[in-house]
Amino acid sequence: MKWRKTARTLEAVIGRFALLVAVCWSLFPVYWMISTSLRESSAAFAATPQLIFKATLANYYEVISDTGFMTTVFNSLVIALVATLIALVVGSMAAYGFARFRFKGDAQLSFWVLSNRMFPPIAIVLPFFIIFKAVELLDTRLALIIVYTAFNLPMVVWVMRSFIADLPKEVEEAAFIDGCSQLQVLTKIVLPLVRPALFATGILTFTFAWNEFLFALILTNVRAQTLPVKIASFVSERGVLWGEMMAAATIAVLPILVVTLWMNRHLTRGLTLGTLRE
Amino acid sequence: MHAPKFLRERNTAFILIAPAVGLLGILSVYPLLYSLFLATRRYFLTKPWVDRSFVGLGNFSRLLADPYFLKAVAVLAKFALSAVTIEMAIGLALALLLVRWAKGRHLVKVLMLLPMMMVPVVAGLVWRLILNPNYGPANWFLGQLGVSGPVWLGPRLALTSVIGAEVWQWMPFSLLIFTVALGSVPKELYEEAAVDGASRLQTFLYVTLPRLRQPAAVILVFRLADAFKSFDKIFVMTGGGPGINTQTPALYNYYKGFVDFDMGYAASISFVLLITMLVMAAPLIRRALRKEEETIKAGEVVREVA
Repeated sequence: MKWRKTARTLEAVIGRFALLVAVCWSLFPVYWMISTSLRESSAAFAATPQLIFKATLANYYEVISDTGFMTTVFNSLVIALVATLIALVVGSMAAYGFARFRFKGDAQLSFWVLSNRMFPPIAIVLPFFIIFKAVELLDTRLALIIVYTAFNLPMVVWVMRSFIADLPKEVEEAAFIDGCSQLQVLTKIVLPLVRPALFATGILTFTFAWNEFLFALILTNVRAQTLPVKIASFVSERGVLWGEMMAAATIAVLPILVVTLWMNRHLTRGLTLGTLRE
Repeated sequence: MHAPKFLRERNTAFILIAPAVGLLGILSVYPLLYSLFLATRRYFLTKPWVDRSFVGLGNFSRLLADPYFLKAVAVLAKFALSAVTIEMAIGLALALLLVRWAKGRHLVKVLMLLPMMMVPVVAGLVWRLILNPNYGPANWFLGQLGVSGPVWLGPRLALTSVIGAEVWQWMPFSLLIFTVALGSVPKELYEEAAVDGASRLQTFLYVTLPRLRQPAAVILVFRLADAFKSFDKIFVMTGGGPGINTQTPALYNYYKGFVDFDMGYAASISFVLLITMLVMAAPLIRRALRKEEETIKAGEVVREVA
């Protein structure tokens, strides 16, 4: 009996310790990013990293006062928001169509929509680069908006379709009988009911557009440059300015972190209900 | 006064779906066709005077014999398989631990989710800093323990480091899904098992594990697909190097197309990647769709699982 109890306590201790280690491991890089951004540049290069240091906002001043950087932030914001909006609107419409209507070839269509998620971006960049070059859309925000919208559509359609299909049809049928047009049913009845899903997919879409690197790298240069590319560019230009790069990185990461933590509950449902059916 | 109902329905459905399908058509059909078109030609973007002649399958045969490409495939295989299995193992272990201790569980889960929310490029850069032999905390910490810190991004360990960064960032995904799946197991099953006198191991094997098969499959598919596409982190951490030690086909494609500007050849790589992805994904997608259909038809309403 006593052995059992010791074993159980030991197990509890080890388990808790393991979780602690896991949390530290997950958080350490984030902590390091922030702390590096708060060091003076010279300290960042010190041979021995100091755990205690004089915190300074110099890096942040440097970064924010650089107008190129602020343009980048603006670009990222605009592109992500617009792409998300369009993806949600177009995607929800299509999701509704897939969920409520049976027509010939709709299984094939669903398959195709879903398979788009699997495409490696690198394989698609080339044709896009050439065509955008031809229509002079290189280095424009519009180009990235188009690409990001198209990239997120499959996920939006897929997730929204699950949610819409789960709604009882009676509500819509009642609305039809009352004389509502299809559009009204969609906007006034269905969409409000799936709002959490809209939120979740909206956040995922926004996050994707905000984080995206490859297309932004290739399709933009200076005018439409987005944050991830800008941050990576701190490497080549003047050696590596780690302090400033980390400041820029923190700024880039913050919105996503805050929004995600805040919407954590909804996100779980959005992420998992699109993939799990229990 | 209106068209017959079924016709009206078809029109509505069409209008609803057309924009999405149109956009996606541009995204998927066009690149596929154009890649194929390019892949059968020689085309150097920076040397337009070089004859853009049709070379048929010349690029493809060159690809199959290309040692760089073959090495890239090997790198990708190692990267994807290692990263995904380790992620899932750790994610499952942590999920099991989390489930057993309710206190503060939510906070712990949220904290561990943080890496997933980082911009991948930033994650790569931060890890590059951490693993820096001169001013990175990793080697300093090892030094404190009396161990000589290795060159993390050197020839021997670069791939390992990159895999490590990937695991760090995406383990939370497995954790999240496994946590949800574990939470959805009805408590009665555990109680019944206890009543029947099952040991802890037996309970795990026969009650818990079967319920994890489907989520595990989902994680596997998504993460493998993502690892397959992975570019950002590797690019920013090692640029494919040193040499070509961490150069995946995606990176090779990039270099061929946008550094060498050998567009025809790069397009053939793109095309191969696309086709491979389609072929591998097709059966999985089909199965996922069928499952979706079954569940919808059964008229189940999904309640909150978390």
